[in-house]
Amino acid sequence: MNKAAELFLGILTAMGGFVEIGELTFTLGSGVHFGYQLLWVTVLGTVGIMAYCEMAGRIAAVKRRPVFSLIRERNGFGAALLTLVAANAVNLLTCAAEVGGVALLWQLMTGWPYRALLFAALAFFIVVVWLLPFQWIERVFGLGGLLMVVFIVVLWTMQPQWSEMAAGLLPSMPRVESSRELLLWAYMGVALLSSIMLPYETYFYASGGIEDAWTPSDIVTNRVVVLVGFALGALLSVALTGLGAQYFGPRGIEPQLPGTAALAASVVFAKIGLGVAALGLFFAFAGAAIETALSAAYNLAQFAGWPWGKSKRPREAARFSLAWVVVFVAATAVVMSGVDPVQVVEVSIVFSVVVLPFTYLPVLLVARDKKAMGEHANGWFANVLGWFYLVTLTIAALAAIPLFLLTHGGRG
Amino acid sequence: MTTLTRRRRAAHQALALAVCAAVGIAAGVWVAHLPAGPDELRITVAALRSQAAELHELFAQADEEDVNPRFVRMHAQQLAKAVERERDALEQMTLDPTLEPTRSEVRPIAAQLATAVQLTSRWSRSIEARREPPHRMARQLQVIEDSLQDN
Amino acid sequence: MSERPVFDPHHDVLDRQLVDVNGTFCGIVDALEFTPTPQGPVLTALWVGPDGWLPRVPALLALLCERVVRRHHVSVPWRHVREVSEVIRLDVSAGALGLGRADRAAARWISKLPFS
Repeated sequence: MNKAAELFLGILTAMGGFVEIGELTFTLGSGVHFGYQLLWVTVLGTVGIMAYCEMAGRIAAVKRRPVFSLIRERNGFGAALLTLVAANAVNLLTCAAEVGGVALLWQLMTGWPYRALLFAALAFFIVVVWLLPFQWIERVFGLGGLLMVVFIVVLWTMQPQWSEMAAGLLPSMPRVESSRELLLWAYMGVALLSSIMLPYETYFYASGGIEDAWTPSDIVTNRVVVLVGFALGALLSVALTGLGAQYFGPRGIEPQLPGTAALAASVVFAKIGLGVAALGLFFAFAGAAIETALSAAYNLAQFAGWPWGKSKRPREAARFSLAWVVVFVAATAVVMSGVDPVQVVEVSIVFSVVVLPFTYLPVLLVARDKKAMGEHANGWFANVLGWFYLVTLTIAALAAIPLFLLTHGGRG
Repeated sequence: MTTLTRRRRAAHQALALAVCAAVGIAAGVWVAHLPAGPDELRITVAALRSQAAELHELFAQADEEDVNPRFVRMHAQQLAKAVERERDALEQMTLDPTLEPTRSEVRPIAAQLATAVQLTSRWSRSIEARREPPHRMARQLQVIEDSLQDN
Repeated sequence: MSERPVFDPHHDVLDRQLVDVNGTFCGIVDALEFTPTPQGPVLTALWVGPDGWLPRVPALLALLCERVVRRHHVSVPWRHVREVSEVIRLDVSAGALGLGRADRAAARWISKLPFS
């Protein structure tokens, strides 16, 4: 395949893989409660994930080193072990939520019992990841997630309040009537930022770059995919916020189920819209489930120095292969216990923001190191962005759990 | 490090961990046993109100044939679980005595909603399910929610 | 390595990926073994395994891990290190040094599964 086609596919894959169940929950929720007043956080998070994925991808291309081996090298064994445990706990919870989300969607489509569908989802994921090469996994689920463009079209037909949307893109204090609402606004902001900048995205992206055998000549590709692909993906998030504001909010509905989101598409495009939305959500959730499971296995293998990679046959990276199977089994066991997948994801999003500064600091330190990266080290702009986000995420990390408790788990 | 020094350090760390865990658990138990105030009750009422509104929207789309009957039944089934969770939370709350009359007001509406959702999960066009329109339930719950907000 | 290396072992060797002569990843350097000489301590071996990383975790965690993990390590003689760069490259296979045993055992089990 030529470079232009690869680039095009890479952009579409990045766009289609941008949204997962946590982001769906918080973008819709922020639209319902605060209209467009938190859109600027979507922009903030998108630029942040662009900056750090670009750095991680550049490190992968230049040093052929994945994120977790850098964490151990730069932070030492103890801190890296703590990051491993925390990051993989978040990966496991996120994977559980996505597996549960897939089973809920399949139940809507087939009418089969939920628990049976959880087993079916587990079997599906193990077979797909076992058999499909890395690039196929990325492309099938990334491109399938593009069906969520239906939400952009639906919002367009609803004639959104463009001026309010534009105003929401600029950081501002919310128009609220009580301190309770202010706390909820702050919580939603932190949760939204975290759901966009989830650590697994950077780990997976960098490991994927090594799986794809990137070299310094791929740095431009990396930059374009990240900037254009994630910007287009952010449009999906903006559309979901808009649906929260324009459709669900006025009806007094706070979406807590994946099927609720699909209702917005059916009101404009009837059964076809419902089908397309449900299918798009399936690919988005399934893609995220696979990414989180593989990310957990990458983290463990890279921390311990095991052979790793989907590009290898399972027996050539035996413990890595067993690791992602175990993650899928454990994730399914979590949702099998009866917990609501959406509540699981809300908890995982909040705790993941606490892990974020530990994840991103080594990436920034290596990316800006001229001795390590040579001519490909960060320029001043990347350094400014990197430090700005590190400080922002540290503040968010300190505020996340108090806000979670003060807002009764984000419910108000 | 000698074994004795390592064991001593481990003992200190275990003690510190046990103290933190004990404080955390004690705080959690204390908070859990505090009487629920208007905020906690309002959150449950708001969730039930949202679920009633969602059922109303589901009926509206089913009437327009924008969604197929299987989707209606399965979505109602998932919604029914969510309604049951909120009803359980409503019953298990240790409420301030001044809020008991409000809980008594919410209970029958929540029961009606649960019945409507469960019937819809079996028959997508159940007439019995629509006997008490969900949008009326949602409005009643909204009034209660607003009164709790003013408290 | 025949030349006197110019690097900081704690910065450039510890916690680095080990790669054998076939390009297979075979663990991370968990500890460094120095031998005292009249000229000062000399790096003589790299340790891979719990004996290397257990002293580097908090004492309580180490005691708990010892209940689960067998205390052992593989000592990689420094003479087998061919290159110190982003990774530590060896001039022998992992199997010759006793590295990667768990992966080979897992591979024997996995190879019974289809499409492995």
